Amino acid sequence: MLVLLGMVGLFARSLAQNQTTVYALVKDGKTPQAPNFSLPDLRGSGHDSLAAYRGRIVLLNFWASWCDACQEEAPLFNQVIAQYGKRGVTVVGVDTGDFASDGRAFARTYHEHYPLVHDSGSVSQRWGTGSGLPVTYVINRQGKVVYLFDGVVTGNSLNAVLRPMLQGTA
Amino acid sequence: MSRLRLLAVAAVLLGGLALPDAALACNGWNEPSMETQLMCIVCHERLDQSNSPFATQVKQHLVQWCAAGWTADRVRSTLVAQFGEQILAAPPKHGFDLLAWVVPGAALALGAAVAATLAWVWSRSRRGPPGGDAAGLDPAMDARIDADLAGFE
Repeated sequence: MLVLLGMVGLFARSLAQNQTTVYALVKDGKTPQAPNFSLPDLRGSGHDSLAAYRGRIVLLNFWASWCDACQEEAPLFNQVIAQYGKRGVTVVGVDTGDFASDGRAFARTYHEHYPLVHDSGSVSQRWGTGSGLPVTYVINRQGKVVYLFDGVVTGNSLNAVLRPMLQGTA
Repeated sequence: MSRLRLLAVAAVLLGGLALPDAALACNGWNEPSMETQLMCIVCHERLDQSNSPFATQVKQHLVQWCAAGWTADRVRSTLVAQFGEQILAAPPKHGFDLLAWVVPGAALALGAAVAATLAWVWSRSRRGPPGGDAAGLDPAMDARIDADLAGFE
């Protein structure tokens, strides 16, 4: 009986862990509501939650210090903040699969001037990172995930997504 | 070559042979062994079998922690705090994860017990009623057989 209960428990647990990721839903053409999270600030001052940015356009960028491609994106995101920050665009960087100390060093080196949080794996599992980092989700003002960049974000591709949203046509 | 010089050469050779183990020995653990107990959470391979950037980063930290004299428990708990229990190659032996260790053994024991019981029941059913064949004979038939057998003697 104990064995049977244990096996049922393991099965139920695996089902709970295999819930569909945001990544899979967006790839499937859907625009799911962004699952909220609250994670420790990478720079060490409290927690930051995604819900705090409701009403803004959020670029949710999953990155790690060991990811070479992530280095290319940091200046672009700084530029986005400078150019579109006042128009309601925010970048939130999620350092995942990474030592927080290495993430902090990376943030200092690449002068990331936007909110950064550290994830020990649960948030990136829920959202999904496809074949690897970096992955960037675009969340609209209503909190829906409307687009994802699977790999390095370029200025042109980001502008193509952001402009209609800022003009209110998307 | 003097005896002293020979001894010195032997000491250097022995020292050279012992060096790899000594260099790898940390505070009760060593890096190759620790790597077999950890997973690359990005590529889902065991750390010792992975050369991914993540695995390389963890290996670099293992070198630093070894040099700093960290214990194996401290290394594991630090990694679990950073990455969750998915960093461990084997599930922990406590809480719900204990089931992963207990269930296979218990299932095996239960299967063996069921097989043994079935074998015992089957062997009993083949043996026939207790008391042997003679106990099942009609007394008259039994007397006739005895009489016939006496006739042959």
